[in-house]
Amino acid sequence: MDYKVQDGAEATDITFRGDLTIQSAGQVRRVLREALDSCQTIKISLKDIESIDLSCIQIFCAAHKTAFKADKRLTLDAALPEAAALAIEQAGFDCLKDCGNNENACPVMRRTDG
Amino acid sequence: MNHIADAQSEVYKEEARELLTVLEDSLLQLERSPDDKELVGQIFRALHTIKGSGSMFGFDRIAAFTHEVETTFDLVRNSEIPVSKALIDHTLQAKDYIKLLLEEPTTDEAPCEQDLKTLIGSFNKLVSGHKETMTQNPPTNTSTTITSAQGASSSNAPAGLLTYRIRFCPASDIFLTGTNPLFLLDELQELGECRAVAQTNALSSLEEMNPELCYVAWDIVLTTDKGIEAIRDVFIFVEDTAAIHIEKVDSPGDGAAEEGYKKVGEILVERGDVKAEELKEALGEQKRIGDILIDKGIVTRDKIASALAEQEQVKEVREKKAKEEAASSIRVAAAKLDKLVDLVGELVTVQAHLSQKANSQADPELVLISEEVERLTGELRDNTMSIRMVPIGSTFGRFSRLVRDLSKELGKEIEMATEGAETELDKTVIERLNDPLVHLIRNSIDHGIEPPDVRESLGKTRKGLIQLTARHAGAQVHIEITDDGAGLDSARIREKAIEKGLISHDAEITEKELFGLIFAPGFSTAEKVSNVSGRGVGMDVVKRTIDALRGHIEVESEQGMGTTITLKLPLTLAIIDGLLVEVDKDYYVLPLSSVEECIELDHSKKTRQQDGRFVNLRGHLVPYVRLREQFGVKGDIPDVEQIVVTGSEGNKIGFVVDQVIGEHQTVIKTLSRVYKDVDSVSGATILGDGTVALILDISKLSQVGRCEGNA
Repeated sequence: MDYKVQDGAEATDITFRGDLTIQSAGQVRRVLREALDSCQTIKISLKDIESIDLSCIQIFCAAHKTAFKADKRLTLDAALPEAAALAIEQAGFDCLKDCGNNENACPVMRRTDG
Repeated sequence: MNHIADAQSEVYKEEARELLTVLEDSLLQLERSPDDKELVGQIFRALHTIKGSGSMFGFDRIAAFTHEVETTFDLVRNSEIPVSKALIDHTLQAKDYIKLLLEEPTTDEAPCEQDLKTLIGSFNKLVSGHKETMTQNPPTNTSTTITSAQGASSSNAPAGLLTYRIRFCPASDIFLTGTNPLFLLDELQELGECRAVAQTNALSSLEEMNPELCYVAWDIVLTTDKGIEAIRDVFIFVEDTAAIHIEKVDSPGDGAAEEGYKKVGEILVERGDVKAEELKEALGEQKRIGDILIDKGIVTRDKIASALAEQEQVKEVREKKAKEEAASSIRVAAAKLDKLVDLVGELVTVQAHLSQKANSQADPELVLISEEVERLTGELRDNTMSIRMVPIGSTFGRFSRLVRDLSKELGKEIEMATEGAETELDKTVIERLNDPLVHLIRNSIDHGIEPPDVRESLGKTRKGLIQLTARHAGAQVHIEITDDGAGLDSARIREKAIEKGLISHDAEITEKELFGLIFAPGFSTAEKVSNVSGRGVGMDVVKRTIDALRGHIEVESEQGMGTTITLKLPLTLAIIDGLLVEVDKDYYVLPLSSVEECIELDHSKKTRQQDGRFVNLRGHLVPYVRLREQFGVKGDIPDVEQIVVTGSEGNKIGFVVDQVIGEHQTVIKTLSRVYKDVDSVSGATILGDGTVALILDISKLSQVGRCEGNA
């Protein structure tokens, strides 16, 4: 897995690549924590990832909850590889449309267009 | 209670017979298309239903035996055992054995115990062969666990779909044990319609979480027919560490659906007081109960999401079930249907009486009522007859197996094709047609189609073809049995006919008449008698059966090219449209479908041809038969008689009568055995005033006419 963090005027964009599995779960968590510590709005792109497993899906969910508590905004890009979309659906995260907050929706489901 | 149990057993037997037909058809199709997964599924479902219902209605032996076959097909379904000839052969034998168990009265011992053991041994061999292969080539994790779930499904499967609510809380260290919970959710998906909703309450913030631990639990709604044990088996490797709770929440048909009631909004829409869109808009403004509960902090959003998923799934399953029920038909005992036809027959007779009386009374009101009754009776008759009509496809389907088994036995390669399987015929006709068709097909296989090597040497394809075709032709159905075999040897038939004394040495007969001789009792040109055919017994039975059905047979054949035997049958045996005629004070009915026209026979304008029992019909000489003479009717001959011209077997022939009365709905009554040798009459009917009219067999009378005409 690798990633790229790009600070913009309105938001910080984080792009992940490769396999987001339990082997990289610690690193994903660290990247997101650092971003949440320093940025108000974070946009995550997973369009270039190869796969994602439950350990990483739950990290994005936790990141969202953290953002909500800190009154920050964290969103996920709408473009997802088919395998990743299927894994998220199979994990039962597809119906969490309003994860804890109406304004700051669950990053797994409420995807922006970038 | 016994009566109810008997009735239920009968229902099961009927269903099982249908399923066995489906099973056989699917197996024969699978033999041709071994990669067709849909067919494998169809076979598995048929076996599964036979087993499940068998167990429910006390057919334990069937349930136990079918279980063995089903287990094998479960492996086929999972692509763990390939579709092979041996598998098809064993399963076809198993089908025959299940049928035997179904029809055998209950005894302590299983019928043909040895066959049963051999058969079970064959299936075990197929399965053990599979196990050996599996040991040598162990499967991946996914397939192992799927097999375990599917295997369990065979033993604890309840009949019908059930919906379960499953709460699965894996141990937090599940990732560390190498188990991926998503694989378990995948396996549940394999069992049926499944929705999982992740519960993330335990997941608080990034700071607090350990990325190597699992913080997610699931609420799952699963609709399946596999049974609770199959669900438990999915969790077999995590059950010691995870919290798993499974409960049944809905089963279609348990009456829960009936408890629902219409909401005010639905009633208002139905009454037209509110439009559906207006109702939707108003409901959109209303705060939902889930939102209220979340706002009050009583439940989390996850819980509401999972409850909504459960509600939606149960609703979908119920809707699906309701749709299936609405589209289904009802099963009625054939005897009740026969009784209904009898009653309609009686009604037609009474209606004829009423019409006759009304017309003679000259009472306009009575005539009006009588005409209305006539119209309704006609509709009732047509509807009742249509209920009895069944497609001939089910009969055709049975012959695929016959062709398969017999060609194998005789070392021939034969393909059977059918056309017009949807053609409908009266169920009585179809039932009686089975034996003649079996005889004709057996003959085609044994005498018609040549062995593969011979065919090749003749420049034909190795595989012979038997084609069964059915089509409507007016009030008749024509069924053709065509083969591309050797064809009939007219010289040999002639020789044999002379030998049997059926024709004289110098007899001049057409090829068609010559071919007709193969239906004579004891006639066979086969060099040797096989256990399939050759004794000359079958064909005369075919002829007799078809005659009894008021049909007739035509044979066309070209040596070296093949033979086509056409059975021409009436659509129904119960009620026909007839033409009522009178000779002196006697009444006769001619089937209207054979009548072409009626002309006068004026004795004051006698011509030479009329004297010779021919009438000149627009330049063509048409022979005629005097019914008066045929039935020995005495009395004065009117100056002007009527000739009813009919078309039979491609030839025209006239029947001279005193008077043509008109169309008549004819309820066919069979004559007693006393008249069994009277060829020219096929039955009788009762007229409105109670008089009996004979129904004429035009085909037989035509033969008389032609003989007399030629004389």
